[in-house]
Amino acid sequence: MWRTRMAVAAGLCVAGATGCTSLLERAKNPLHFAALYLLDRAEDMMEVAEVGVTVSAEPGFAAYGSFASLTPVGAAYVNGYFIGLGGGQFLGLGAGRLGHCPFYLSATGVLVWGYEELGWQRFDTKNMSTLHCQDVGLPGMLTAPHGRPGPAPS
Amino acid sequence: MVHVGFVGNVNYLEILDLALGFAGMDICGDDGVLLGHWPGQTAQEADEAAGEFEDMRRQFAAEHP
Repeated sequence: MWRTRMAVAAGLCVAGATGCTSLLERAKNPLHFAALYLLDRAEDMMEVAEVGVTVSAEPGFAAYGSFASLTPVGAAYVNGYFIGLGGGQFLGLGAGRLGHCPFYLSATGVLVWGYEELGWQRFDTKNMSTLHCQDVGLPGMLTAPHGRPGPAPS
Repeated sequence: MVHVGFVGNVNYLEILDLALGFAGMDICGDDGVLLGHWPGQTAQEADEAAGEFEDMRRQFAAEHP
């Protein structure tokens, strides 16, 4: 029995070192735990890729690409809505909306360095704590992170 | 007038986060919250870092109007 407890404790220590899920703090009962576990995995799945179209009333511009967050090239500014899969939602499902969700991207890259600001679902473009903001490119990956990280490498 | 654009992206770290999530790990720090944080950083520290960055931006904007 003590061996099992030791193994569980060791497992929690390993998980804690890399970033352990907050399920134990959030779950109210075992059933709630299972539901939250599945919800977290569904959200993780909807963050794996971003595929869709953006729609905005105000004009924007976006010609930006960055392989593995190492080769940022181009510039982008879009502040509108996203229709598709990405940012922890699919066609509004997961964002409490129907068909779309608010989306913001401001990025620039000169191959060796780039900077990205990304907002999904609920954000304020004047409040950095509501946005993913990060340097990209090799120097950007090695320098101190700016604010909240985005899902780099991407 | 409506403006339309296209988005295509794969988040490699989120793939790892999804896989490790089944084992109870959360390397992106985004379980149950919209925004994540760096490994080794708490959500509060991430908020504070974002606040510091915002101050830097304001200062830069004031110095370069």
